[in-house]
Amino acid sequence: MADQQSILKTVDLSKRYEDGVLALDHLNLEVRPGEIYCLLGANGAGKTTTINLFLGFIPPTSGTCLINGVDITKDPLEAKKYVSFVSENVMLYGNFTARQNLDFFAKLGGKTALTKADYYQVMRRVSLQEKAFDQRVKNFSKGMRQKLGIAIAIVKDAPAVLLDEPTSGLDPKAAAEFIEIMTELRKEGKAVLMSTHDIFRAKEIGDRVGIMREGLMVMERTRAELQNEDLNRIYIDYMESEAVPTAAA
Amino acid sequence: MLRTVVRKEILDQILSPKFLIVSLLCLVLIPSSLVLNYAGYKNAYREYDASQRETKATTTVFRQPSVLSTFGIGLESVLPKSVTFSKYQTDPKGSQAQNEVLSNINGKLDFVVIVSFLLGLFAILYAGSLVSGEKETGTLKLVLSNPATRSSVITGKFLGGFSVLLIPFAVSTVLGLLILLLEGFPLFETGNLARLAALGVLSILYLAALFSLGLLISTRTHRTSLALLASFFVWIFLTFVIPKMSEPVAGLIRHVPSEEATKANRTQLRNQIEKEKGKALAPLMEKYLNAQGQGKWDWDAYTKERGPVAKSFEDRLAQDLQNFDADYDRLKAVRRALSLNLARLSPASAFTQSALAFCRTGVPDLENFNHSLQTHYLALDQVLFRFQFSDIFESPDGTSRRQMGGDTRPGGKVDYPAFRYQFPSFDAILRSTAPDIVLLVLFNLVFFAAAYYSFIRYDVR
Repeated sequence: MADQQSILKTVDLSKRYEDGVLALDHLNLEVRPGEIYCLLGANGAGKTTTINLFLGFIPPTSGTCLINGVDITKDPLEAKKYVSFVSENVMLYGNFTARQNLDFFAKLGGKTALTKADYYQVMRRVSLQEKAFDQRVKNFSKGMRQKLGIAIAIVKDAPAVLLDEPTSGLDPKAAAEFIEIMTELRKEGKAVLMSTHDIFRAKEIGDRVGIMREGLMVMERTRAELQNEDLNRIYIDYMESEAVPTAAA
Repeated sequence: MLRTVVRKEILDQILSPKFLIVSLLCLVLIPSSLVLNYAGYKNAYREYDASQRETKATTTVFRQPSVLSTFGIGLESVLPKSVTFSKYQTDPKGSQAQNEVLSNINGKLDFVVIVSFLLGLFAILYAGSLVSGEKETGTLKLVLSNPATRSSVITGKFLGGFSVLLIPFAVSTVLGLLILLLEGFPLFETGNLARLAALGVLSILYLAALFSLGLLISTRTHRTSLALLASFFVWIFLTFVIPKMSEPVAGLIRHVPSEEATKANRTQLRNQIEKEKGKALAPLMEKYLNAQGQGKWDWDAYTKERGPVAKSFEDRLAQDLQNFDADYDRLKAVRRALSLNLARLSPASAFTQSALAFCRTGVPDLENFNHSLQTHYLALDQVLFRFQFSDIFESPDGTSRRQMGGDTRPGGKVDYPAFRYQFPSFDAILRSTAPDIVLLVLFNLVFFAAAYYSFIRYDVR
């Protein structure tokens, strides 16, 4: 896996906001094909900033952010072809049906030749109920919207998937279904970067887990390393220590 | 990509409840206002036609109402229905004070007012939620995570959203026009079609300007409620505050005496010269008109000999009154131009002024009609007034006063000049509204460029 080229990569990536807050401090991160990387950390640790930088929503203060080898700052349109995004609270267009939402975002992602059958297939894959396919999204529950959000990410068929707190607020069944879909994406060779507060899910599906604090990556462990460790304990230790620890292997 | 965003925006807006509300209001208000105002025009025209045929007084002229007042009543109610001329005097009937034109052009419910107020409000509110709404729900993040340029997103929002606003407007207007045609509206006569086409273009320019302004507000806010509130306040400021404040501010900068005070001053000036003339003519009156009730009354001799004596006074009086009127008109024109220019800071005012000009009920018509009256007075003076005289004699102690009038015109029928008010031509209106049209285009460019720049520079968080 170490020999494979990274799909998602940051090199000394930093972000200081206009109000002076250093949200990200020289982050070096790589996510390879077929790998799920879970970013843990408290609110304000820099997880969402990292995702926003990958998507080109905000410019970096320094460093580079590469998607499939393309610098998002230099060629954002090309870079965005290789990444899908699922946000924390997928809202979508309430006046549209599930299929209309899927159709719009598929076209926006460059998939212009998909048929109704293709959309139905993707929605079945994320376990969205058949009767919901042509219902207006404003009547959907959070779980249903989250599934549709993942369907939108899948239909784009990009090599990288970014997820910002995707399991937040989901019921256990929906969360379990989500884990299943992530596992399938890994099998398909997608590079998945997921920010989350959910330590147990991170340990369950993460091939690597990184803990962030105050813009720094303070810890990174592989799945193998975490087999015999208590991730919950490690997380609490890092959060409670007074000084911000430097990055650890 | 732009086509995808435009199609999505059109579909999203059409499916929203606000589209239904705007459509219903447009379908009710636009055709009904057109039908009612056309009925009002027909009544006014019947009155005009009957008055013109029945009235024998040939020094009275009537103003033909504009058929396009069906679309914009504007100054129709300010301009007089008829004007009666007499020596040194022009007496308009059925008119209001012309000092404050801006207060009078937004009064009645008509097409221009509906576009200016109602659709203007819809335009700014419609656009106000376009970007802020997507920021609030988070869909903007999802959109921008795709390989779509921000310029195509903001341009698509403008094109799609604005097209949807135009649908109920266009459908209601066409429906209203069809009903008007059934009612006998002369759409294809005397350039009405061209004027209405210009009115349509101005309406689109105005609504696009407010839509762009709403889009700008939307790009600067993160919550729909805040965007709508800000849009509403901006609309109030542009539609009410600026136009309503322009006249008082212009009045402070350029004071113009009231019509009543001016009329009193004019009468005083006239009386003064008349009095001087009376004193100069007093010996002749004593000689021929038997002031003390003694001797022979010789009117013909008096009329013949008074001419050389009275001429200098009458020439002076005519000149002084002409100067007095011209000065007052100039003062009014300067103040009016100042208030109209101040009001032009608002797109609503620029639209209303230019739209009413094309409806022939705007400021150019006011000026054109007043000019026509002056020209007609001079023509009447040539054939009638210059032969009429009126002499006033006061006793030295001022206790008694006599007035005598006559006519030195050679016999025969008076060849009265015809008065037919000529509306300003299309070219003349185009020239007079050029600043407003340029301003509306500028408002569009500035507001959209600002919205575009703001959206391009926006940090998505």
